[in-house]
Amino acid sequence: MEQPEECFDPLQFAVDLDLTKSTDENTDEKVYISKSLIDRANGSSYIELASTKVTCAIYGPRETSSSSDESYSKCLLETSIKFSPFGRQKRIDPLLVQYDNDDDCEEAELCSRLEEALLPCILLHKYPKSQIDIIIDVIEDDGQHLLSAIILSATVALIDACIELYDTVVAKSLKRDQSLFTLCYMPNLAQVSCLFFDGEATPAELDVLTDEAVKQCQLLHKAICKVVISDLKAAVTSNGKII
Amino acid sequence: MSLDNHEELQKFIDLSEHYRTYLDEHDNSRPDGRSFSQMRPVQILDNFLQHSYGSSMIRFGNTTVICSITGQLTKPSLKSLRSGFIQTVVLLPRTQAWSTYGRRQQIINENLTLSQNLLDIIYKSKLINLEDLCIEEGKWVWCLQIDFQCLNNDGNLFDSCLFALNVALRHTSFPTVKVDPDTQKPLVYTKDLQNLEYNKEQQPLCCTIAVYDSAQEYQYLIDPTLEEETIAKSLLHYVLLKNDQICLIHKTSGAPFSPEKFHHCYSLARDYILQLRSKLNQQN
Repeated sequence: MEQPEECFDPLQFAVDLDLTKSTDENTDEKVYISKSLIDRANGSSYIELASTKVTCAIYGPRETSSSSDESYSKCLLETSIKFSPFGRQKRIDPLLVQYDNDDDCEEAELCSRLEEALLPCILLHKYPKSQIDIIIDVIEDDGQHLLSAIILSATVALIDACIELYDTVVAKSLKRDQSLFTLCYMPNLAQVSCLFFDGEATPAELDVLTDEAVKQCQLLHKAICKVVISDLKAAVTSNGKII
Repeated sequence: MSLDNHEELQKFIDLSEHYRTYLDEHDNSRPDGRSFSQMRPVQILDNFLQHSYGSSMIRFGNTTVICSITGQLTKPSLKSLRSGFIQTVVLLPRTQAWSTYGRRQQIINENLTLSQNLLDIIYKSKLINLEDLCIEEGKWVWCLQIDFQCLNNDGNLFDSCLFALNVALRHTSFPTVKVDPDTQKPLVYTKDLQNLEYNKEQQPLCCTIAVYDSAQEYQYLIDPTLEEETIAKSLLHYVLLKNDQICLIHKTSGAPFSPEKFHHCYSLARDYILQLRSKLNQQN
């Protein structure tokens, strides 16, 4: 079959785009969390925050192929994030996506942020000479909740994979004008695992944002707890399943 | 993936042995409790991606597939000035590719056979007429991009992809495009949506049958899970149109199979597709 030579994104020819469209800041966001939906993975989760949709699969802990000194004493964390072809307004051609790139790209940036957020909470020394693979697929991205959805999905999947954690890491992204603020919070320890901010703000404004984010994180934490507890209850009632 | 109980352990060591013992002990039922010709529950969710022109999410039991339809503008080929293009891509879950190949370097998550089969069905059954994708003859046509992403593969991908395509097509609407007569550039009106023209009468649906060889007697398993697909002697795909015409028959592996058995499978497939079709139309 014949294939076209060159394709153009229809949006570049759009004549009626509303560029002044302001994003609603405090709309009621729908949150949907589910887990154990991927059979082959040790743990998996699906998160919807507003219209951002993310799945996460955890594979491991398994024997590592790495022979670095670090891997003898503790577990290695491998992350991989990919966008689906229809994740963004502009289509990402799946045939051009490379899976082994370590270049500077958005995915690599997101991976390193995810690792930063998760490292303080996993008991890595419990799994020496092994590695945990975190595989994340971004189904849809609305430009605000991406990082928080990725971190949340990884946390829920880690719980699902029965990997020992100090606490759950809950993340919340807030958008003010052009600046994006993401806070990763551990509610039981009452500690911030990491904080990302792109944009401009005064220290006072940052304080307000932090308080707001912590409040929202606690709500999200309750939602995660609810899902995990109901899942455990279902597992207990189903005949003789060992948890 | 826990190996805590006896059943899981036996499955892990020898899947076909597990299946054989199960079938010996139970009459006319499969390990997941279904009878041989029973399908898994189907869940349908449509229009759930905001960036696509049309989309759907389908669950057949644990198999979850997302279908998204988008389009890009392109110039037609010189051979046929009025016909557009269609591209299909099926992406498997990366987790599965991982566990199969073990190493990170080799992630093959594209299912080329399935992509090509789906494309053939769209072309040959005239589900989408290529000339309907024309904006202005010889200048601009649509290139339709149909992406399938499988979130979890628990067998029977073909059926679920084709079903998802039928659901997604129903609510697909494209922005209106006019061509500027002076500059020949397209003008896209994103607010002004119009439905995609396609042949609603065709409704190609697929039935996958796993042929399982138990004690010299063939068992036909409809809507197989991934485990059943791996132990099956061969897999049969029947794609039928609305008027029960056969659109595609595909049999994997070289195992001998008599024509009478094909007839038997055809009648099984017809019953199954009838149920599937009523589910599809119920949702309307």
